[in-house]
Amino acid sequence: MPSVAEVVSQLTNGVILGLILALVATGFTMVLSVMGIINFAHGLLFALGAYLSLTLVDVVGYWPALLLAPLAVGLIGILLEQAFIRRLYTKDPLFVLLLTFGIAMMGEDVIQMIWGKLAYSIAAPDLARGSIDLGFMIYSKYRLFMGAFALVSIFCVWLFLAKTPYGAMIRAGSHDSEMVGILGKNLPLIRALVFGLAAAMAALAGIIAAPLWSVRPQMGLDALLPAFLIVVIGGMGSFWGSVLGGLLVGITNSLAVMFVPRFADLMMYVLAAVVLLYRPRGLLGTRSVLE
Amino acid sequence: MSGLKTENLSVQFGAVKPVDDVSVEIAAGRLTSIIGPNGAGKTSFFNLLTGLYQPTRGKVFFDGQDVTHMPVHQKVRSGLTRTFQILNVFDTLTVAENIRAAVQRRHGRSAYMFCAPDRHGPVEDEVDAIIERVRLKEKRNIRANDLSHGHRRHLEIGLSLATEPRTLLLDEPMSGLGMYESSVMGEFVRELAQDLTVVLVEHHMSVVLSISDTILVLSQGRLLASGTPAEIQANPQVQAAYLGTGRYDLPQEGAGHA
Amino acid sequence: MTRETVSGSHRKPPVAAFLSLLGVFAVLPLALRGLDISLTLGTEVLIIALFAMSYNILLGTTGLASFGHAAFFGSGAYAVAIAQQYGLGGAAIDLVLAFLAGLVAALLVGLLVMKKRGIYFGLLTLAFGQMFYIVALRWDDLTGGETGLTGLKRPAPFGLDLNDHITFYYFVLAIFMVAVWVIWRITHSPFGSVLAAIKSNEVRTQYLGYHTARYKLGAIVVSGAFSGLAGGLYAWFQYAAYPQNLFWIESGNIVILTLLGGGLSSFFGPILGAAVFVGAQDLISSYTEHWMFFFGLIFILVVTAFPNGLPEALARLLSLVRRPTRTTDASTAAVRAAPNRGTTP
Repeated sequence: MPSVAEVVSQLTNGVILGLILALVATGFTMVLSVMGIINFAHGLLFALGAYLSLTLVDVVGYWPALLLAPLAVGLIGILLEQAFIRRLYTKDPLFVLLLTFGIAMMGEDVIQMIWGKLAYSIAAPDLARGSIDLGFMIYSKYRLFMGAFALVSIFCVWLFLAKTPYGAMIRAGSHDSEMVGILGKNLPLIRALVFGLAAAMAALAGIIAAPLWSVRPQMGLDALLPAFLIVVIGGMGSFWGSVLGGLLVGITNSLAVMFVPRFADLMMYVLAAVVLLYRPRGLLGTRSVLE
Repeated sequence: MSGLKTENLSVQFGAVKPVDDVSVEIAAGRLTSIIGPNGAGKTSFFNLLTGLYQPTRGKVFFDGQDVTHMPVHQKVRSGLTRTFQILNVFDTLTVAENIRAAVQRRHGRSAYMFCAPDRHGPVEDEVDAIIERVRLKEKRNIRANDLSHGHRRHLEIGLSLATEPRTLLLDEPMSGLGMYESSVMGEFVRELAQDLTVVLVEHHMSVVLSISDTILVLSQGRLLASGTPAEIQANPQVQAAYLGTGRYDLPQEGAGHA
Repeated sequence: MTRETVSGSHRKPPVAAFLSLLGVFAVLPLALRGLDISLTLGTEVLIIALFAMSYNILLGTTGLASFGHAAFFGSGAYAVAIAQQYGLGGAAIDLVLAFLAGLVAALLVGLLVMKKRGIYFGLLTLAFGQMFYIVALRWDDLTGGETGLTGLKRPAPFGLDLNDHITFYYFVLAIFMVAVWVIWRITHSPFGSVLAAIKSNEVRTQYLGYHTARYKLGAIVVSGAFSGLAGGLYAWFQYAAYPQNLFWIESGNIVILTLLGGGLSSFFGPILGAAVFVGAQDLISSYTEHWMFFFGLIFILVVTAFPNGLPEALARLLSLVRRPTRTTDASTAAVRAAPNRGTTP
């Protein structure tokens, strides 16, 4: 049996992983509920964030890269929405899913063309190197930084959605709402905005996860599939549901690593299946983005 | 008997309460119409009765049995079904295929995978009988997609009849129909009410007034009045409610698409 | 064949269509030899076409877009491979096991997703489909992990040498024809007409007294079982079972090639889609290692340029070339498609 300290440290790992995944999943579910589409390229945007920061860190340093990479990926997201996805809103959502399948495949290959097939690792910023003695355990400074950063990011997104006029428009534009008709000419703007914001959030998650996850072309899927399950667990269209789902997936994963290491990454599927059977709409499943 | 009853039935979407504390009894074997000015909650009430919406509060009884949370297919099997205002026939299937899809279930044939659907005598006889009853004999092998609007209305009712209901709820069966078609539909509904309990939501007031046994008036989500057509016509509250909306539904009859 | 609707009114067995299908595939080896193309490509087309026909029980007939079908296909492949590891073999046993493996896998996923529809159904099938991939990767003492299970043997039913390309091709063709006929029978049965009703309008089907979730589960299970059968054939074909057979890309491929062939409106369409797609796949991977790039491109092209499939795109092209005045036809079609069609006097 693992010791108490091990369990506590693993649980902390789980919470931090959960926050990163929540950052990916909230963007994903925002697009899902506002536009009623599944963006399979969401994982690609996560990976792009990591890769861009990899290159930018060498050019401009860590902190500017942390700002520039999400901005760039946000723009790429808006571009994707404007160039491709926008044309398909009137069609069956199945087509958007297939389109983003295609984009994800192409994107992964483009990443391989530019950065190669091998995995990279990114160095943590100076500020967050080494470990810290918390009294009851010694813990990686970078992980704490990751957790704090993800938490602040999630909170900022929530503030934006809850307290600003643009956020109010996004909430009103939520898929099931009759407001879509009322928003009228603002709708294209809102959709582009949501897509861009979600892309930037995915990229941000990718960047802060990069020093711990190996940066490789397939890394997008490692974030995307948990995001799917988080939506199932937390409830479609629920912002806080995604955060809760993210935390549950993170914690489940960390416990599974200790007790059933070989099947650790299966446990979140089991969790999702159980939630689906007993709460078909997810834990906080409602009809709007913020509830 | 196959009557319907509601107790404190309410539904809420966000801040809106389309149906607010409605308790009514709909007698078996009669034709009951639900009317009310636009936005009175008729359609929501109807959707609550038929299980398309789940109520926030209150109960629905069918035959004295609480059916509030009964799954739709079980309600239908116990004899309660509905039509839809926005036409809900199976567009890609022919008239006969539409009806057959409904009939074959009661013959226990819907799980058969290794035979043709249209080779079973008893099913075919019943399909033909229903097609005849809803006056679509000449259209038997036409796709629903290619039928006229009026014929699609008939097919919609045929689908519901094929489930052998004891209580049939009709959701604006005359919407989109011309004056003549509406009166034909009115007679047809009256005919149905000879064997069935019929509940009707409808805008065409003259038809409603001429065919109904009982009328329920909803206004702002609440039950405003109930009674015979004559009583309802004479009711000052009802008149006020209709006046209050700034428009009459009365003169609109039959002129649906002028 | 363009408008032979899946749910259509032609419920008499299309004997002519089956005979021409058999005819085309019977002479295909000659054509391939003439073009100097390996017959294995033809065999692969047959197997993938069977997979697509199975898939279309869900997409084309029931109107449910599954994005996790590789799980059922791959389960069939692994069933054959694992059985052989334990010394079980023989054509009949392999095929029955593959069929059952697809069936059981589909039952597991189906129980989780049967109450869902639309985009949520897609999300769930994708997620739980990928679960099978992870199981195959992690449970390595059973599945061989990342390298999969290789070195399989093709059985020798009735003394046939299936290692011979031509014999194997015709053996697969025989199974293909029988399976496609059975699938035709099922989709054009009383059960199939309930599925067609669900595709057309699930809520209305419930108001006919159907517990639609059960019928959807039935469709998923039947579709999964035949997908498993195709997977079993594929294990023979590649003498192996690989985790890639369960991967999401494989699930996406089957959706896209079914659409490409016009599977939404045509029963036999997926066969055309499989032929075109497998051909393109072979061509692309022999010229470049950046196959993912071009596959992605195919996805984007199909979705944006011919979402209704090649047959319809060709028909449209032909009508444009032949008679530029066809626009009148198009406008009446638009009127018919408009929601208020019947109100015009």
